[in-house]
Amino acid sequence: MRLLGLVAMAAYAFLIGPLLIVVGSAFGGTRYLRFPPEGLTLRWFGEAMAQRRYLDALEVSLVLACVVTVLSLLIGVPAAYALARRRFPGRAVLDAVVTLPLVLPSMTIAVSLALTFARAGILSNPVRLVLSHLVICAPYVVRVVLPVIEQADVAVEEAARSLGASPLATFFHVTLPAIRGGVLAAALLALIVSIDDVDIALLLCNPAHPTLPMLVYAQVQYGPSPIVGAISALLILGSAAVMLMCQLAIQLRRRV
Amino acid sequence: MLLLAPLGLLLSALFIYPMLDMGRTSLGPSGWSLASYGRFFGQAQYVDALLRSLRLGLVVTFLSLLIGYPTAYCLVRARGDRAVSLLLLATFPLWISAIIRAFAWQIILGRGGALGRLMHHLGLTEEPFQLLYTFTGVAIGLMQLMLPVTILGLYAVIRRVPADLEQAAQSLGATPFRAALLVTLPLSARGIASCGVLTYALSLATFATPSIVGGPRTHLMTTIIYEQAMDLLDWRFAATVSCLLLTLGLLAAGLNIGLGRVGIARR
Repeated sequence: MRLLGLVAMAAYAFLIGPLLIVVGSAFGGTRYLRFPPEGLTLRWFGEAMAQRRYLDALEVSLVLACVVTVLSLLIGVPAAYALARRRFPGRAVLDAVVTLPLVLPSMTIAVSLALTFARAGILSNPVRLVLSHLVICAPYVVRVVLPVIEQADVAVEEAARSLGASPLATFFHVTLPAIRGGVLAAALLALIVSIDDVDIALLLCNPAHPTLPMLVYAQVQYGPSPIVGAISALLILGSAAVMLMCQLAIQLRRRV
Repeated sequence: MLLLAPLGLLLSALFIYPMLDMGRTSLGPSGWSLASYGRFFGQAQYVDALLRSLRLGLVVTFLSLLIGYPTAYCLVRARGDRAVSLLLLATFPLWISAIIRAFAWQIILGRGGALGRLMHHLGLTEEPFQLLYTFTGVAIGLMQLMLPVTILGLYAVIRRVPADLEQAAQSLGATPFRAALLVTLPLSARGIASCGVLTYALSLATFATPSIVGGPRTHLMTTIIYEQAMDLLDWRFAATVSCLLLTLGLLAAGLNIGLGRVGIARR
C-alpha cells in the first residue's frame, strides 16, 4: 500500500514539477531560460506585455473560441436532445460518427479540411478557422450534453406538454434548466478545445494573423525564449487560480 | 429531424466529405494509383517514422498504465477534501496547453537544461548531456501529456469495482496490497485495456509535443505530415501519410468499441 502511495506521489511530481519549473525560470535574468533561474527580474513579463503581437494573437484566440463555443452549443445541444429523446433509423451510426472527430488525429482532420477548403475556394481566414474548430468542438458538446439529457426525467417534459406548453417553451422552461450544468460543462470544454488547438490552426490559419498557440509554437522553435516563459508562467498561474477557486467552491458547497 | 440537420450537415460537409476527398487525393491527381503509398513504404526514413510512432505509442501507453493505475487507485480510495484536491490536481495539467508543457521539457531536457545540470552537479555524468531531440525525450514529454487522461480513465474504471469485494478478501486474511492486486486489478482488466487503447491512439495522434521536444531528428507520422504539407508543399504525400495514420486511428477506435466502451477523452 505504501508502494502505491509512493508511485502516486512520483506521478504528481512528474505532472506538476515541469509546470513549476516554467514558472520559476520565467523570473530569471538570462537571455535563454534556465532553471534554477539566475538573477531575479520581472523584465520578461514587461517585454511580453509590450509586444503587440502576443496581445493580438490572444485576441484572435479568444474571439475565435467564443464564436466557436456559441455555434457549437447551437448545433450540439439540439442534436444531443434529438439523439437522447427520439428513436430513428441511423441513430447508432450518427452516435458513432459524432465521436470520431474526437478520437481521430487532429492532424489528419486538418489536412483533409485544407484540401477541401482549397478545392471549394474558401480562403477567408476567420471562416476557415471557425468552420474547422466547429468540427472538433461541436461533437464534444453532443457527447457531454447527451448523457445529461438522458438522465433528465422525461415525465416532467410530458407534463409540461400535456398542460399546453409548446415544444419550444417546454425546452426552454423545463429541459434547459434541468440540464444547465451539462451545457455549462460542454461550453467550457468547447472553449478550452478551441483555445488549445494548434494542429488545425497551423495548417489552416494565415500565419499573418496567428492564434496564440500558433505564435507560441513558432517562437518555441528558436529555443527556450524568456518571453514565451513569461507568457507561459502567466497562463499557468492564471489556471492555478481558477482551479483553486473551483476547489474552494466545491468545498464550500459540501459544508453548506 | 430538424434538430439534427445542422450537426448532420457539419459532419458530412466538413468531416466525412473531406476525409473521402483526402483518400482520393492520396490516390493521385488523375486515375487511381498507389504510387504515393509505394513511395512511403519504399523509403527507409518514412518506414522508420511509422515504426518509431508505433514503438513510442507502446512505451508511452505501458508506462502511463504502470504509473497511472496506482495513482488512480489512491485517488479512488482517498476521502473528503483530500480526494477533491487530488482529483483537481491530477486534471490540472489538462488546463495547460500542450505547447506550454512541451516548452517545459525544452527547459528541462535541453543542453544546459535543468536535468543535465542536476546530473552533472551530482557527479553522475561527465559531460553535460541533453535528452531534447531524442526518442527518450519525446517519450517523457508525451507521457506527461497522456498521464492525466490515463489517470482519469482508470479512475472511472476502478470506481466501478465494488470496494466491498476488497474488504471481503481482507476479512479472509489478505493484506490490503494483495487484495488490491488479486481482486480489484483483475476485475478492472477490461477497462484498463480500453484506457490503454485510448492512450495509444492519442499518443499516435499528437503533433506539438513530438515536434517541439523531438525536433527534426525524431520524425513521427504527425511531424512528417506537417513537414510535407507546410515545408515541402507536397499535399498529395501529406494526404497519403494522413490516410495511413487515419487507418491506425480507426483501428484503435474500432478496438475500443469492441472493448465495450468508446473513449471520449482528449489529448
